[in-house]
Amino acid sequence: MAQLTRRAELSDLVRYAGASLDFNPIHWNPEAAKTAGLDDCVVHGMLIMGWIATAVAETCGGPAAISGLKVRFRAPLYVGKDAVIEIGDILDGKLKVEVRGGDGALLVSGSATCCEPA
Amino acid sequence: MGDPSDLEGRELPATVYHVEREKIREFAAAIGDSKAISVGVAPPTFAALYALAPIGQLLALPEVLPYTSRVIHVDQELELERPVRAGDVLTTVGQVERVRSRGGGWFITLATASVNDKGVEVARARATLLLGGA
Repeated sequence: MAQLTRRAELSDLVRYAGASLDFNPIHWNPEAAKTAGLDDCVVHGMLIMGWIATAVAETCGGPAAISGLKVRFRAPLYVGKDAVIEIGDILDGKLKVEVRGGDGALLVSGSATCCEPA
Repeated sequence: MGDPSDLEGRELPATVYHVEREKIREFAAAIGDSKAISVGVAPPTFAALYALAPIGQLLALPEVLPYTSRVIHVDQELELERPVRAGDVLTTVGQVERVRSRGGGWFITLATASVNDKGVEVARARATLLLGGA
């Protein structure tokens, strides 16, 4: 099992918004996030999925070795908060992924599929 | 005007995405992937740019627009058939697969398929969004 901790500051969210063209204001405007019922700006789900994919690629043998990724966003990860990413061991080409907050709450769960090594 | 439930089964117009090396670099840097560029392959979630383009189309539909003050990404699936590289020209078609109302909001599942300029399948994606409600 592999584990790593990631965190996004507001500047990281602005950068990801520009790179991904996802300008939903809940990711960069605290007022808009509060209007939407959130405590603060939330990290893009697809950015968290990008962190997961980068970590899975280390286990699978590169970004081209990932053939599938499936995640459920269960709770928001807020700007400036730690996310602990856990990548399980490969079993029959599949592995389990989880992201927990610093307090241990489950934020994202899912699985990844790796190609057969070429 | 209708509501989102009228959209189930609706196919959205095809979108075309030209993959550029500098966009891959920008995207990889934004997710903290230091290896993508040296490998020459787009990170898997680069799919956000081409395979999820139909989300933008969906959110602009008149049946959906009134609920877009709150958009939450609930589920995301990606199936990647082949690596995406600079120079690829990808065509994506999205279809509204499922619409359910709950608590004044809407769960909408959008399925997309992306092919390269030879018509070979590159990726499939399925996104579930929660719109409106609170």
